[in-house]
Amino acid sequence: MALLSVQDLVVRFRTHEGTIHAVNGVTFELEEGERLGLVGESGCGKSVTNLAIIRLLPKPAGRIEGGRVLFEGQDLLVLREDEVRDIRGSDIAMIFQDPMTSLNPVLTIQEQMVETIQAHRKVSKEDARARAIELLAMVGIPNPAARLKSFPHQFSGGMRQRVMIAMALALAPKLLIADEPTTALDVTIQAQVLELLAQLTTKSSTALILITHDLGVVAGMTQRINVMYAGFIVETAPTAELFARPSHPYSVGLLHSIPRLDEEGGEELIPIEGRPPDMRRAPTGCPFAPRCAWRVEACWTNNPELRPLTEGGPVVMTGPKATHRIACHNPPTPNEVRGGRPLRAGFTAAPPPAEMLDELSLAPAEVTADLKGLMAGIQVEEGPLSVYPSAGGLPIPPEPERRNDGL
Amino acid sequence: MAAPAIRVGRPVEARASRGLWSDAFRRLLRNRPALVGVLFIALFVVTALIAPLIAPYAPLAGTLADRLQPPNTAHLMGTDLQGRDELSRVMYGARVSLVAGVASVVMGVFIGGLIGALAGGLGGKVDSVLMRVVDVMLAIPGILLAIGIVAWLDRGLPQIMFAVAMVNVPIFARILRGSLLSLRESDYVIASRSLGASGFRVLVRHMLPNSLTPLIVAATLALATAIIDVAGLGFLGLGPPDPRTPEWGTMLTDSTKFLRQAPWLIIFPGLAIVVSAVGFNLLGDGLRESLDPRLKQ
Amino acid sequence: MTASDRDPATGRPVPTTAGGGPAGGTPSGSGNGQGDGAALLRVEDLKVYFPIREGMIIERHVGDVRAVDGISFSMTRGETLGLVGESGCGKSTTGRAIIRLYEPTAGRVLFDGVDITSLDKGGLKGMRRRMQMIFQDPYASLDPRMTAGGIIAEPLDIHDVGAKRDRRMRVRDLLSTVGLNPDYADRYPHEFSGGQRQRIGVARALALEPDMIVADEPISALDVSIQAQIINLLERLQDSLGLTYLFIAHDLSVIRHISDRIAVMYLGRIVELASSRDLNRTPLHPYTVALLSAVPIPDPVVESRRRRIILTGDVPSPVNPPSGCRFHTRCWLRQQLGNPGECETVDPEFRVLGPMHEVACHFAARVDGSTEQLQATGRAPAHAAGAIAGGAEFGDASPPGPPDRPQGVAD
Repeated sequence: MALLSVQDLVVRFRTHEGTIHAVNGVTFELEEGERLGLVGESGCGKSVTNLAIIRLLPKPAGRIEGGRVLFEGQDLLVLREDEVRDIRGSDIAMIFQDPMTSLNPVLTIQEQMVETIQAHRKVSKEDARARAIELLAMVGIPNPAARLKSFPHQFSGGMRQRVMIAMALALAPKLLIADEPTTALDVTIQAQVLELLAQLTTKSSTALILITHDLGVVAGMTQRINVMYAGFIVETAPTAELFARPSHPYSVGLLHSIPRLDEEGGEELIPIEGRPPDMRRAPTGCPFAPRCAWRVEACWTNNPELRPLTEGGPVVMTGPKATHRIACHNPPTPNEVRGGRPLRAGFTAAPPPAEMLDELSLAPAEVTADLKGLMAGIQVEEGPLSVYPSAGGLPIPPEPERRNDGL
Repeated sequence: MAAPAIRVGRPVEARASRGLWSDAFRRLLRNRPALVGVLFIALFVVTALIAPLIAPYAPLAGTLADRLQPPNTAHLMGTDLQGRDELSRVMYGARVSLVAGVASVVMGVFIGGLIGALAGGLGGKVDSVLMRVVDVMLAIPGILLAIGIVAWLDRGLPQIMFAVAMVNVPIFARILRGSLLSLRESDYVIASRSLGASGFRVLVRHMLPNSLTPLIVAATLALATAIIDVAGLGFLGLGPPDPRTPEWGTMLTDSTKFLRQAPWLIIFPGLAIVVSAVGFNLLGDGLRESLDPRLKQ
Repeated sequence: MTASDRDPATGRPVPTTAGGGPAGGTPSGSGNGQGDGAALLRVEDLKVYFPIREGMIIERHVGDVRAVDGISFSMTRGETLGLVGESGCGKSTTGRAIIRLYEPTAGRVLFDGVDITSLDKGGLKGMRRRMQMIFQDPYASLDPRMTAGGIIAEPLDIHDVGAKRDRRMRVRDLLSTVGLNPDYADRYPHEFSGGQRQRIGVARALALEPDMIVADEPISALDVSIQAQIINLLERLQDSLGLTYLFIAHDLSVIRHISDRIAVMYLGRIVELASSRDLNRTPLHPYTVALLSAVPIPDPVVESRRRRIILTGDVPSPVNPPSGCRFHTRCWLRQQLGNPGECETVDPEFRVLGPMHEVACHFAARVDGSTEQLQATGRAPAHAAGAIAGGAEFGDASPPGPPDRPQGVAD
């Protein structure tokens, strides 16, 4: 039995501005000690998924409107609040992006750590304190006994995140959820914290869900990755497999749109055109279709299911042999994956159906921005295709020549 | 494992370009309490404007024979000690309150805004000195300050307005200065400076328009307190010099001695004060919410 | 100091007051008699200190935050210089001091031969036509109460360029130049997405046809999929308009991608300055090596072969920077060498160690060829295939297993 099993999770937010379709039926599993990366951009539902798992959605706007979250076989969504509280912190722990928001500024680290430990374990204050010192030492805080008396603001950003890790691991949880734990940190400090996180979770074989927008971070830290877009998982695979053979147009697009430190020189970035989806619209068809260079007609009307990349054989949900699955009607070929754009002769991305055009033209600001491009489709000619919005005004060459002969 | 059923949703409504002000106005229209406030204010303002047309009697005319009549068909709110029609006096009283309230707040916004703009816009020593003065003013309880000013300048409606204005001056000054200070380091102000804009242009084009929001809210709320302050001064015997003037606060004072015999003389002017003050309070809160959407939950 | 002093009477540039129509008055430094290749911008020993004051009305000066503490570099026309470093290293302050949003405490900033630090108000305004800025946060850098058109037209209004009608046309041109629908001129910033807002910011910076743009973290607030749009836009504009960029960012991958040369800053100083290629292949400062090694690469195969140099501790306070070399408190090389005394006592000079490669480290020679350098740059032990999708490695999808990354050298 999997440690964590999320099934068809649906989360919506009711706001004055309309309903936000944050998570639209997400299913995944996690084994004990497994390290899973949840990758996506802001608003893709990755953080909301995890807040839903631990039942910390902002109330009353955020509502779980469907699905189950089984932790060790027990559905967390049907538990009473006090039962969930019991699990939170002891069996499932969390680290957030900004440690300052999760640490109480008016209490010392000692008070907060001892309180956490005593809330879940029947131990004396002295023992709890000893355990706290041990934990701070473990996360590499120099002179832990003295630092225990400090207030959160007396630590630097990196040190605060270490304190958070110490507190999260205080009760030896089975699952640690780290939500953008290093996004606010400088890169050398990020390296420190990631190193620590990898070490500690390996040592105690704690399962880890690492939520991040940074593909570099998940590449080195996780065994398996879920790529999320607009509240859906669009691709899932073991980490090595995903990077070796990214197959959903969105994953391919992401990998082509970030510069790599080790590029050999002159690599051109291929941006994903358009903008992130408006989560207030109930998705019609594939949520990525408006920005996708590979879209076919079906993409506008049918949201593809998450299906194995290669048919046949049972679907493995977890572990290193997990099945590589994508939700796509028209996956890029390996050549196209390398090239970052459709290369099939005569292929053009399908224009939106007439009734959708109407809808798209009514949509606010930027959906209309790309309307011209949408209606024209994307022309594939001899050379590389151009997905730039037509530029009037100053003369702009359609394809930038990288003059940088860099590495 | 099936992807969840997807319905074709209606798009978010079409819209033309809208500024922040019109967006705020639309939000205000959806705010029930604020609309109630607007209703109260409308009642108050319209009454004040057309009092001479709708008041059944002249506010100063009355015969002693009619004195202290309880509410009846001839006098819907009864009559006072001099036999004057209470309803007419309450209606005319609205004029005094409206003029005094609005004038004092406008004056307060002007003086306070000037101080705040100087302090927040210039900064440095000017800021230090002006803010110490403002602190001193804030340290004196508002009504005491007002009493002091009226006592010093002698009684009279302009003096009352000035006194009530001065109560609000330090509040407005602080609010405007605060938002100007936070805007001074904002990126778009720095951007404008980097384009070569003069300090004056930055202040007028960027900082003032963006710092008006809290000032508008504060001014609306201040209207409520101004009406109460004006009435309060009247109640304390510092109302308009002519004791016959129909002023709500003065009317209350005059009738306290007959609280038992003629409770309507307390109830109706009191109600008038409450309705108008509550109206501005509701509108102020509504404005605050609609001008700053982040406050919504 | 040759042709630049041609105007000693005023000490400022001959302002390009051609009066100019909207497209007129491109003030490219033609009046300066400098040939191509001469520095467009030269920064000499620039210092920016922020005084720390205590007390209410009577303030005492109790110290300085030495945000920028003596840096020098120059930029040629049309190049992109990347300024990289961690938060608090002074990179943004440098950018702002160059266009004199902050008053430099000491040093000179020569733009086209004219010392900007000594310009009076009028001269500065003229100079600002030629140097523009793009900001980090597209949500904060646009006045929410102005329309996109008003924002883009503001520089034209300030400098009184062209007639009202022409300005409207110019705004439409600029909007399409940056890839936005010209009809959006009447919309307000809150109606645009982050990427679109940043395009508006770019259009505003282009309005006066500047020679140079200081881009301060222009993409770090944007979503990953949008970042490339802006990077490509900036590159396109540079190619077609011949712009010179000072590109400030904390992300080495982005800096590496866009820059011709890179300056690495640490605690108010430039510690290494080299071509983008050299800096990434043969970094010579221990800090640069550590920085490179810390950047995660989106490729598990490469990641599993890399070793991180984990720097201990935090960046010291710029109020009391360490003596000698500022990096000595965290330096892995110093520890390896057995803590030589000069690191603590002697401030290393900025030395030229190769063509256009300058570095401020006593022991830079020891860095070259070290295991750490090779590890950080991915040149050892075996360099993984660089193709993004790693297509060559199909079928080689062995699970990476727990990343048992080796301990940092400095631990």
